[in-house]
Amino acid sequence: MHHEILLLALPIAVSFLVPLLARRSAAVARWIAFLAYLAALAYTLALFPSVMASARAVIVAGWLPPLGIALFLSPLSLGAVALVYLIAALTALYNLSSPGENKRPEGGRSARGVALQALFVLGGVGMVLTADLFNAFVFLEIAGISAFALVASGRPLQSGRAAAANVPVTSVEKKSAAAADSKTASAEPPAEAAPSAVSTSGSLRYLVAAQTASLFMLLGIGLLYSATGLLTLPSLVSHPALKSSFGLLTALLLLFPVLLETKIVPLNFWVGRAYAGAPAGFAASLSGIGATAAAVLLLRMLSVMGSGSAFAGTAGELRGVLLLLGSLTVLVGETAAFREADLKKVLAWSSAGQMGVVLVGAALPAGEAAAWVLFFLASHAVAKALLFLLAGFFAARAGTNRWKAMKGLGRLHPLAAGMFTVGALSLMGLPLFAGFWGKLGVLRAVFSSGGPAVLAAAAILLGTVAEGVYFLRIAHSLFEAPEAESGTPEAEREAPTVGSGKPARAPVPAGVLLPALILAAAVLLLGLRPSLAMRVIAPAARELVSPDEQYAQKILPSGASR
Amino acid sequence: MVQTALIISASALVLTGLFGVITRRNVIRILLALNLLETGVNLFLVSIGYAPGKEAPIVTARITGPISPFVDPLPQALVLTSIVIGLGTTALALAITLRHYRAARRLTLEETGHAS
Repeated sequence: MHHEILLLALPIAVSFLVPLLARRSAAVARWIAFLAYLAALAYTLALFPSVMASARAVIVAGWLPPLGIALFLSPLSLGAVALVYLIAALTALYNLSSPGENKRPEGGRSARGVALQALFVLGGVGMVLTADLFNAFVFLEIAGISAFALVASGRPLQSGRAAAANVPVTSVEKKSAAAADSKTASAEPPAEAAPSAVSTSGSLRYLVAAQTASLFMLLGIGLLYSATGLLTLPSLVSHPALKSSFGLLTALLLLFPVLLETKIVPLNFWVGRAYAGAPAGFAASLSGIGATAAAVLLLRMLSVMGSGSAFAGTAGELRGVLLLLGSLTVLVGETAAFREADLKKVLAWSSAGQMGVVLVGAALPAGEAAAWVLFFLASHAVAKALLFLLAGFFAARAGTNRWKAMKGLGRLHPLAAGMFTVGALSLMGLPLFAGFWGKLGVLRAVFSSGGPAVLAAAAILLGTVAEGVYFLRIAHSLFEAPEAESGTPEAEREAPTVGSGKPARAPVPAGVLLPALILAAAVLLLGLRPSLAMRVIAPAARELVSPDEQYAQKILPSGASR
Repeated sequence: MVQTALIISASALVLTGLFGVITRRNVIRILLALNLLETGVNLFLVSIGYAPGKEAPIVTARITGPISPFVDPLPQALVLTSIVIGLGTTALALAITLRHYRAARRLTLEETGHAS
């Protein structure tokens, strides 16, 4: 019996206990989830010292790895788990007192929503810990299924009318929104409030795309098993090389759903709509937990495929393909973010652009940029969770997700808008903020590797310019006076002038302020003292650079790799 | 021989399913196509472990000898898991489709205004 299995058991316990214990009271459910994530985070941190000293595998049920299932505890996986639980705890805290909202709990805050979110967290943690490809498939499915349900549970903001103003809708949708309006006007809001077509269609798009991709992965698993008889990732490190075209096909099939979850280019058409539909608290998890965990799995798979001998014949081609996809993702993601009027979609597409940078870094030969990619990933997770939580708060205050309609909210809530700016500046990669170091490191590695990779650097720099424009535009509009045509840029940071706001000047609820403060502090801390995070990231990067001694040999009992 | 037939029908199912997922617009049809795709993948997995003339991998009283008379049980275990996941996803997808129909009064996903 390994107590490390608690890392997975805790979120399972939450998701199964909540429907039993807290059916009646969503508040109890939210507290259970929050405390469980805190406990899981504390447990993860407690495991750190021993794992930093030496990474180890947890063999589940006594079956040795090539046959059985192993969880791998290492600086990389445990660091990612800590990040996942940190964001899970903070979004749970946010959900404890969600802003601007009264009788109808938003989708993600009901007892069912809490249970689903716990499953999503489980999927993320599992993806990071597992060393088995089929297990990774199952965890991807778990995360996916809970995400589909949560996205579909999104409700129109405040009233059907606000939602109708929020997105351009067809006449049919307007009719249904009007019907929902009249329903809520005539009677108490029913327990199952009107679903929003944005949420359901976003969820279905996501579902069909993700399921197709997962089935491709299953096909890849079948091909791999037929050729090697192995399904554990570490045993591929020392396996004799596959035929090159077969290897490339298998590798791409296996990477399909992971690339989809990290929103890489041909597979990211669902992003905008799925995020727009998701409840605010969950959108933070979807980007902060889902994309991060999938990216860690992606890095692990690429490290095995790039350095291991099984895919030795195809590593070069695979790198070329991924470099191209990464650069395209940066361009497409940032362009899409630039064009969006919906704040949640802006953030979602910016997430895609940032994941493009991760892929570019991961595609460089021999993990030159591994440490900086991991740093970039961590700073993105923290900053994006911060932005999504604050976006949820601003949206609740404005009654819409359109950032233009949030004009002036920064004057009412200077602290919240200030923290939003901190997150945005970090994503842009300005010095003093966390995102700077990661982006700089990736760019440096790209330039030093030379060749066609330099085009990727151009894509990243262009993307940064686009990011700069749209994030500053949003931050500026937040601080603008609602009536005045335009404030001078210098006036941006001015103290709020009293009496300008028509909306009630209610204080920012602690449930928003506290997690946002913690995340903003993390962004600044990582920006000012990157060496702190590097203590974990440097050994984690070594795992990716030399998967043979740091990964495969720790999991496989010597001589058992067939 | 049997294995070849299995793999050919599996690829036919996968391709048919993929065609449906890509070309259909009605959500229910897309989900049907997705199920075809899934069946194809499952069939492919089972066919990998198939070996002519061998037993099902179930330990019964009359089997006492070594492991050789069995077909490979691992793909079958994978397929069982995959079937369960497929069932769950399909049920969820249909529930969301129902919800979508209630909200939008149609079974397609496209929106006419593309601006947002």
